[in-house]
Amino acid sequence: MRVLLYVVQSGSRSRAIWSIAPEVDWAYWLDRDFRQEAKRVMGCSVSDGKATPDVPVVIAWSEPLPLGLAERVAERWPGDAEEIGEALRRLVLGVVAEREGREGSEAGERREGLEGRDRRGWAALGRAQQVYRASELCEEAHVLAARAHRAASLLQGRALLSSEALALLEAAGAAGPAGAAAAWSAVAPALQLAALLGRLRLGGAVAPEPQPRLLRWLRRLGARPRPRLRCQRCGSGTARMRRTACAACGSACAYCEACLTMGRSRECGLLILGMPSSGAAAGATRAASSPAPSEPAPSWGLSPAQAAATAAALGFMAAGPGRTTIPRRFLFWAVTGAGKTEMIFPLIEACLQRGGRALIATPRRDVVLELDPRIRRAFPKAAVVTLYGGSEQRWEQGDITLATTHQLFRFHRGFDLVVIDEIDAFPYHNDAMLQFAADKVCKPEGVNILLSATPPAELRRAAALGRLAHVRVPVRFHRHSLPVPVQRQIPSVRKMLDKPGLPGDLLKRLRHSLDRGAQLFVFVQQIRDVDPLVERLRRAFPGIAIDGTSSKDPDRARKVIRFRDRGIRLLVTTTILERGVTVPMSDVFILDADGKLFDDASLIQMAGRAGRSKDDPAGLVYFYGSARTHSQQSAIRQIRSMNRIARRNGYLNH
Amino acid sequence: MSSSSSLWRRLQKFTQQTFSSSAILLQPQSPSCAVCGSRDGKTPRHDRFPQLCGRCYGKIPWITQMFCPVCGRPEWCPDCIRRTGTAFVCNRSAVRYDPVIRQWLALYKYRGNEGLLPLLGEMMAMAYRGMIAELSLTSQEQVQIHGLIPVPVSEERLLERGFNQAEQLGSYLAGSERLALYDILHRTRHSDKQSFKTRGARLRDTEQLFAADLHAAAAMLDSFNSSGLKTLRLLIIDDIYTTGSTANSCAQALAEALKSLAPALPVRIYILTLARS
Repeated sequence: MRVLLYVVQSGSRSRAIWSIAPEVDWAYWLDRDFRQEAKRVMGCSVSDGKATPDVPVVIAWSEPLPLGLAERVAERWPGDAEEIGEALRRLVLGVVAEREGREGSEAGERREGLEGRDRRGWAALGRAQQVYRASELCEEAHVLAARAHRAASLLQGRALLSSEALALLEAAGAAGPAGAAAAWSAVAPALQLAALLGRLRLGGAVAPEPQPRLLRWLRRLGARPRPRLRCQRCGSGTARMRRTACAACGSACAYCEACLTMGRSRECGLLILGMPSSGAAAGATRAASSPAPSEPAPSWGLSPAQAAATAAALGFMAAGPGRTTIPRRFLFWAVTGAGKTEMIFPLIEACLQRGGRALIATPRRDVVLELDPRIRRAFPKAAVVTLYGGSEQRWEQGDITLATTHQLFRFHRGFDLVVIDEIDAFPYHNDAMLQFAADKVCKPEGVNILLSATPPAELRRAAALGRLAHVRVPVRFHRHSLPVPVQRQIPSVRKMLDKPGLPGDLLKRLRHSLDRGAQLFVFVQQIRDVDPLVERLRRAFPGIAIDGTSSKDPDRARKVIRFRDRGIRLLVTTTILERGVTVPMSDVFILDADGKLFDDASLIQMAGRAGRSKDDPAGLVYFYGSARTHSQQSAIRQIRSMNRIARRNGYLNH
Repeated sequence: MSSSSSLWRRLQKFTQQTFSSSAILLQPQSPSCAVCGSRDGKTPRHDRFPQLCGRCYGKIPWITQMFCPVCGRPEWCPDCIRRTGTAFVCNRSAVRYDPVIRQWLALYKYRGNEGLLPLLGEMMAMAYRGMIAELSLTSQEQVQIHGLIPVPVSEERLLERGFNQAEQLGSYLAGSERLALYDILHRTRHSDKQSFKTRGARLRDTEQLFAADLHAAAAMLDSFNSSGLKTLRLLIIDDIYTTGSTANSCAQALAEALKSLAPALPVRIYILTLARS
């Protein structure tokens, strides 16, 4: 996209701005009645004529420029420039030269098809010229302002690419004159006016990180710090950028490869951020007036451990924001089967009572779909929006939003409470994108709740050092201790399959579990080991229904259901079933427990499949491996320590 | 004594851990596959397609046998018999337009994953070399292509997508085969996506859809050493060949323009596409 760059000077101060619909800007700056009317309709404070000085001087660059270039000029514009036209020319030329000369070598960035291509000299094409009159092309102030107001409220709390914003406005019937096909040209003026009045923030979807003040001074002294690009939507840095020739802006333009599946975020593409309206401030005062609950209501039916943890979180939420500009974080370190979902219900209730909006994000789509009816049942009066790839409610707004974690990128300071489930799971395992997304979707004064049975080491350390507010839920909802894994030494699965038969100890314990009527999970590391092992086990236990599954299995969902219904008694599987699956009365056998694909988090999650139901709380868990590893020891240590804490707090019922 | 031995054990553990983790770093690891993202290094990678894992490379539906000598289709072809006024000699495609290629092209064209260009371009280059070998064999001389002409997309589509896939594939081919690319065709009007239309609608729709820029065509002719040029051979580049109506319309526009500029020069126009549907 190309935009028009201009400078508006009023008194001795000036400001550089770029526009996606310049006729609106000319009317706004040069026609005082238009500006007053627009401000009145949009609900901004209207200053009385005395305070406003004369009509400002507007000097525009004659040719539209690539968005990224215009944004960079605007960011660097010295507010005290005297010769506006000359200063603008010099700055545009400087930025063009910098982009053409230096950026190819930006660290880690990949380039495609740019060699030997003639780059058009943007500078040569344009010049600075004064704009004297508002254009007749602009719509009447009150009509346009009404549309801008509507668009801004619909986009509030969102972070959308231009195509997404267009789709949202179209879905809400706010894209343009009724009946006409939604076109960008019909939407742009309304968005531009909303941006001028501060209700939207328009920026490049991929843009340089803002320069620290110190570097700005260095630049004035002649230094040229290398700008580092960042995807403003997903937070990825230059390593995930690819620079290609772009027909939309006519320059070599970077796009982000990391979030490509969500639509392309590019340097010359818009990212539209919906800013809070002045009405939001009123909501905040409402929050302060209503009393904050500090205990979960008994109607939620929580166990003592759950209630204590929830009370701690409610206390944290009620404490109010400090002077921080980023949302505060709170970690729920809850064992597998602790009943995490029930514990967050009171938090959501508290958030809604204060007139806030809540978001629950979880990495997997099936969990979102499973959670949806539970949330709707718990909060029958709230508007619930469920978001995932291909969701019908994609552009709706609600009190409670349920979403897959990828959808976080489409929001900007939209929520007072953000709950992120399974923070250590795909796609966020060791991923800096999570932090970025979580901080971004939450209002600065809001609260981020992180849920995990196996928080990553970094968070555990922060919690231990007191840098991260947290609570542990050391016991399951049924108030029995976690099954402690038993370590056994047998050869690796590979070696086992090379020889006939199976190790006697393994057979004996499998037989024992089958005899006691349990459902058996058998975890292996490699997909290729699943089928041979199923064959071997079927021969060893004729008459028992045995099957295997993996990520490559199209029948996986059906097999899991059959396993849950006891149609299959023994299921050989990979880490794909390590989380989220609850099967009553199950025992867990982990083969190759010493393998490098099973880290301590993975082992704890797999062990967590056993003993989840009230009727059979003491399932059996075995770690089979050829060696004792650090991961196994750490997993067992963590399970034991949770049991110890539960006992000490009197949460166990014996 | 006991404390020193525990210290020693700790030190031992530390060195072990450090070395085992640095050993992982030192293991050769293939870059992740451009399509599926797998880092599988066990199946060997193809020399020309190092960006694909062995599994994905095996999925490429290469066209190895042709049935129709005109359009290079791997099965019986009713379109070439029905068409009158074919303005091109023949079309050759690298691969069949099967679900795999459909997905790859969608990733590239609609999702904008331009990182797939080297992969798709290399597939074009394979087809190009095959085509030249075939033409040289039948005409008993080394056939030379004088220029590549990409099929244009509409201005609207170009702004929305940011690139013209035919132009990018052409540029890649121009680079790898040392050929010249001439962007001299343009669309006279915006048409809807071809993939939503029936054969009849496509044929009607593509009539007079393209025009050649005469100035650019003249400049192209000037750039050839016209004295030694007996026959001008041009190659039109596109991503998908379905009924041939787009390609033929382009060839017609190109032939007309060249005829008005250099009536005496014999022109032969060929088509090269990535996928044959």
